[in-house]
Amino acid sequence: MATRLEIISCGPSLTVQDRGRPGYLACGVSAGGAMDPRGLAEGRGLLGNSPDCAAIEMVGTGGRFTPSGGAVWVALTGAPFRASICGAPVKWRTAFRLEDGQMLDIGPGLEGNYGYLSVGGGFDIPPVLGSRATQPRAGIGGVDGRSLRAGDRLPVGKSDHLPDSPLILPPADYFSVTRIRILWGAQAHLFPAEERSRFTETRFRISTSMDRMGVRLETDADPIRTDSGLVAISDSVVLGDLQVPGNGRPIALMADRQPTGGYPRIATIISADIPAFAQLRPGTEVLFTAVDEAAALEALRQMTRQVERIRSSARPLIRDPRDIPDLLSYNLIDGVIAGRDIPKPEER
Amino acid sequence: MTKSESDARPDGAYETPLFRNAGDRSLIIEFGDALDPVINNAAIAFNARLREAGIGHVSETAATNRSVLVSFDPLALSPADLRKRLEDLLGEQDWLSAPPPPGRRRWRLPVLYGGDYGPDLAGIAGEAGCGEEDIITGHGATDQRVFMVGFAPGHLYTGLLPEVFALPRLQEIKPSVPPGSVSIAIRQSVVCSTTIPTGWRTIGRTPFRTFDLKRDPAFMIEAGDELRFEPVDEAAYRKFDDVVAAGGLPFEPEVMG
Repeated sequence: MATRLEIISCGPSLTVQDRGRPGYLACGVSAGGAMDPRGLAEGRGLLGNSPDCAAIEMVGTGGRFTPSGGAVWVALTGAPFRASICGAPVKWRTAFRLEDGQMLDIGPGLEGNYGYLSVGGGFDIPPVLGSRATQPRAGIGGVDGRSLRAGDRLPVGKSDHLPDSPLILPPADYFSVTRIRILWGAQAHLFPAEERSRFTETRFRISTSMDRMGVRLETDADPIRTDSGLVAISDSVVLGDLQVPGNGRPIALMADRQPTGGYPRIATIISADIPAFAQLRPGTEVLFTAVDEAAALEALRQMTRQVERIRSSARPLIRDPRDIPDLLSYNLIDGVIAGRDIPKPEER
Repeated sequence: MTKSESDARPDGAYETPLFRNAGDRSLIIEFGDALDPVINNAAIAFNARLREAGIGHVSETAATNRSVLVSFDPLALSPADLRKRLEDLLGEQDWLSAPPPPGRRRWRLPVLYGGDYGPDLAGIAGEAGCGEEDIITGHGATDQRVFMVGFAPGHLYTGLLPEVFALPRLQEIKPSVPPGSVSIAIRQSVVCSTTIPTGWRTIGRTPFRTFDLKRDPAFMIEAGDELRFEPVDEAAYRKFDDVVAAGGLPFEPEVMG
């Protein structure tokens, strides 16, 4: 019998996501994929999965999951959520073995927006247009092109690269970043110099109008205006573009953006800051800082290197929970995390 | 950004194409600042040349109304090296006078105009002071080039229609129009393959789907192809709808020289 991860219950916004499907822009399909590519990659790295493996992306709340047909290695990365195994709290940024029939409960998100549940070997569901990433609006990818729901049983792939023992990562440093770096955008020239300055001096707030397509920004300051209110001719937009519609309130274009757009784009968030930006919660203030191309690439290089080394930066999670199930909660709560800790559930 | 302005001709085309920033993994080559068949053809022809060149570490390219997007891995191919390579290709010819690339296809699209299928047709005819038949005839009068595919999977933007179609998009966005809807504004038609919200004025519907996951290939039409809109009655529409539902095409496309 194939090993599966069964969803007993779940929130409304769980989707299968991977690194996305580049190559279909000319067909009207944006790359999509994980909103926090770093969180996704860390889960993949912890479990020794191949780069094309998909994970479950969770926003708001998680669900109840259980393996059937065998044990499943699980990694929890990205934004931390309250989590427990059979009632015993489990820390985030960990990888561990979940036995057949054990219940993994993932509750509300504690910090950030997007969390990832990865499994060793990845989810063995057929790629659509070269990727398992779900774009529900287009009905492409994931499970039947839709969000996940209770009763879904996701087949788990095989792997020869699973960890020997449970692992925990050092705390993540990107959930409280509020300075986001940008490059000036394709239509920056349509904005007068003083408006561009104001753009980088204005504290914008993440609004509640935010999803996998885009994030609307709010401010009490005057709207950002273009020279003579020009609307650009529609052409390709890219991940992280900050477009400015007529009301002067920028919208950041995210993973499931429409692939073309006609509003002037003043700036683009650098790739290395996409994970931090995606994790900003509504109400958070954000300041955009212009950098040059060299700085953007250096930041991307650093992030890529850090993610590639993720497994070597992991430390053992004390003991194998297979051997000592009673100590699972004990060790996971009071374990290795140092420095800026994730608040314990009971402190919230 | 090498420069932000270029000498523009009266038709909006740039004497020299411009590089525009598009984040740290993409750049845009812009051929002009107008919705214009010459500018659009330059983008389509240069995109065909780029595909042929097959530059390593370029993950994808896409031609749009007036530009080409080039996405790449900047940690494997430096932006400076890519720009140099693109400048060499741009220098091969005057892309504004380039012939359309070979292998493009012409598609006949049966359209059922007006009524529930094209709720905005009557209003357009009213504004223009003519009959619905005149609008339908004008819409199909000349073959329409696909300027780009964007907004949603298989969502076609074509042009350019006669002046009577130089209408702004609607103030109110319609929350949803069904797959196959044919809508117009700003002298362009859009044809969708999925249910979408739209601010365009819907005049008819075609049974054809350029995007269908159940079919291989899932996508049929690309930028540079041409569409011939052909009015059909409800009986013919139903017939074509059955053909499409069974995985067929209303008409086989014609390969253009």
